[in-house]
Amino acid sequence: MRFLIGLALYCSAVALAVEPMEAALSELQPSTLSRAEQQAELQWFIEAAKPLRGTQVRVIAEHIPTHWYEANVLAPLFSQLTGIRVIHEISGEDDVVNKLRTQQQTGLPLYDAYISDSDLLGQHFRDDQVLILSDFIDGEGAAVTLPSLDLADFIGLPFVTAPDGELYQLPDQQFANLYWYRQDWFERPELRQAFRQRYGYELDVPQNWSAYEDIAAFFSEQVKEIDGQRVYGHMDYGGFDPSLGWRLSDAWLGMAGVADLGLPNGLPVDDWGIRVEACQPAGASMARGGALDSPAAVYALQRYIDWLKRYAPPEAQQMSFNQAGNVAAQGHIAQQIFWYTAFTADYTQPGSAVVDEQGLPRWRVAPSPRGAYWREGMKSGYQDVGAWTLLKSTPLKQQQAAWLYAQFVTAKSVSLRKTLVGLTPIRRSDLDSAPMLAAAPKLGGLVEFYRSPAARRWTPTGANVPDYSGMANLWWRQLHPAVSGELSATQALQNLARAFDRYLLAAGQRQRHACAPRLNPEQGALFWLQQPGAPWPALGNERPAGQTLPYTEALHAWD
Amino acid sequence: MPGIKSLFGLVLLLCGLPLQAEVRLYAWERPPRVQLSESGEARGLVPELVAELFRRAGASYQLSFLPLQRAMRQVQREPGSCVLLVERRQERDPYYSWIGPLLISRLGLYARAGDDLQLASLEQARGLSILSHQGSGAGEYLSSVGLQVINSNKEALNLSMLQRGRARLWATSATVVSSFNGREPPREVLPFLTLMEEIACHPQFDPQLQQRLQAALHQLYAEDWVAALYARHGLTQE
Repeated sequence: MRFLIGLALYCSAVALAVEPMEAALSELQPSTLSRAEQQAELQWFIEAAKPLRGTQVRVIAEHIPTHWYEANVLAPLFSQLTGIRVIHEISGEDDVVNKLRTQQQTGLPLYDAYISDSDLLGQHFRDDQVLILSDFIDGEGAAVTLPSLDLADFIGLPFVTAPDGELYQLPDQQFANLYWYRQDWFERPELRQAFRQRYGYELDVPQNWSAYEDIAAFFSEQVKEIDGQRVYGHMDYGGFDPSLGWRLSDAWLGMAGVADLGLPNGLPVDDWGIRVEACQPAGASMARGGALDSPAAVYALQRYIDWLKRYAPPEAQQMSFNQAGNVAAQGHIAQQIFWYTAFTADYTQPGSAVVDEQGLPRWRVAPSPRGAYWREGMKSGYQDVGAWTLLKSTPLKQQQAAWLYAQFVTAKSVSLRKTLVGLTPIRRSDLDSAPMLAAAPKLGGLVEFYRSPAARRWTPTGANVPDYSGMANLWWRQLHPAVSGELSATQALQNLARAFDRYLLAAGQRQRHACAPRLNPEQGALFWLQQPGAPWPALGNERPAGQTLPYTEALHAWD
Repeated sequence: MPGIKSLFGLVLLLCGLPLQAEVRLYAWERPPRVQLSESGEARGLVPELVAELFRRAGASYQLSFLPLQRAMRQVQREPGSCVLLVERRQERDPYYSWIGPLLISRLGLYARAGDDLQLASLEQARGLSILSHQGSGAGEYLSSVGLQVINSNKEALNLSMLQRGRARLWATSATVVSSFNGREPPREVLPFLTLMEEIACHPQFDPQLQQRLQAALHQLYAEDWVAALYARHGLTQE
């Protein structure tokens, strides 16, 4: 990735030596716009920015390839074009969230804009501190809103639209959590035969967690070595780090089947295990009707811990999100149950162990396997957008300059080129473009996923969590003791559920909003386990027979 | 038995009070915001802010000075102690209990005044040596993105090395640069990171006291007490 960004940067530096418009047109290819349309759109930025020339804006985003491209290439281009100086900082996702929270709590003007996940939407619309973009576009931001912005073209727009119907954030990059596997290994006749002999079914895309575990055990404990290299049947991470929280909250509980049926997150109990009455969070513990300490949650956490320790490379237990993100690209991992597509760029580098001599991937992505409690009608996985977020307290001039930059890095003039570098698509027009379709064979199924109607069943945290930046910390601090063996999975989840209930109670007292939390009275877990829906009672058999499907059939899930 | 229970509780409470009363704070010198006077007292904006913070939280403390790296190691071993201050980064989060921010550091890459180096991004700093203060978040950050960092124990040494051409760049903040009264101060080439500087306490630091201190700090910001303190010192909050 560094090579690509370095090359892009070199080209950009050479280009910036010439006239800014020419430099931009040279860098921002291909585009879904004609050259004349692209030039007109870029010219609009130059004109709109004239009253703001000399302004400096400071923004922050998490460190994934898309944002490095913005910081290293697009920010200097924008500054050259408009005379607005952009300081585009890159930091850890949790640091981004902490700083946003700090700015809201102290009023310190840390940044003029954040690229922050839509996971925080439930907080934004309840706290009334984030600039409502749909209002801004019609009001004080009208003169600096791109006429060709085309909001309907953004595939992630529902994720940044709150239950009140207002737009709070603008998508900048979008990523999903999918199953990833080494198709070339799965196709080897000797491995297929050995797997069939041992497990009685085909080595193909796992449809349930039993099959995933069988395949993990097969590669880690039976095959062990391929072409002279130690290989593993599973990859994950478990370090004591804030990113441990979203490892569990993004995927493991939801795909285990903790929540109720219904999109986007389960109704009335969501995939964080929070029961929501109308729009009011009413509790996370089973005692209050939630499911965070339910049998399905314990099943999810226990599988996560067992598989991490038994099937993943030993060093994975100490890793964080960013450290683990491109490990499978090193070529010794057979499959990964929850793989973030934000790292796709690292998996497509020529010469990589997971790319063949023709530049085609040796891997594929497919829908993630489902846990024992999962039922048809639940969400099929996690996806989210990193989205531009501005605060009401930021001075108008700074808001306007930051909004211009936000639109620049997401404009049609820019987004196709950015998507091809960072592989985090945000616009339907990019996904339907000829260059994207031409790139699709090199991207292992990523483009097919985003173009499929099923992609809507992959959803973010949603609007139920009333204070994501505060509650996200509880996940990793309360659950790591189970990973380290100090507590059982049940004990750790009971602690987490109680901590959530206390937090929801405090948020309910603080937030002045019709959707602020209002806790159910404690009625005991048994009462709620006897009601229909989540929390689901314990299954007699949490390990049904393994089931796999050939890749092409597995993709029918995306029809 | 409720009477006995209450008495027992009171005894426990009274026994507990002195334990909570004294927080050990380890500061490190960084004039003008934290410095040790000739009489051995802590002076500057940060000690004043800390004094008001603890007063409002109803807690007492004992402040002494240690080099930053030593302070960070000491606090991880010593319950009831904190470092004043540590640049907060995600990688450091699990190892301390945090109260802050007390300061905001705007970090940049600085070059010698006479050096005409221009940088539009961190990527362009690849291959250049960058000076940094040992234990600072700046050096750790730049190393983590693959840049070449040279650490030293004192910022004064970094300045000297920069001026003698031992490295093209120095990763530091405008506050540190302005604390050295040279005739030709280094020039900011590229701002790259904002860090929050916070009180970093032992990971098992009393959570109730931590919450009281954090709430008191938010109140100081809400009342513009912090802004007034900066103004008294002739400083800005960035």
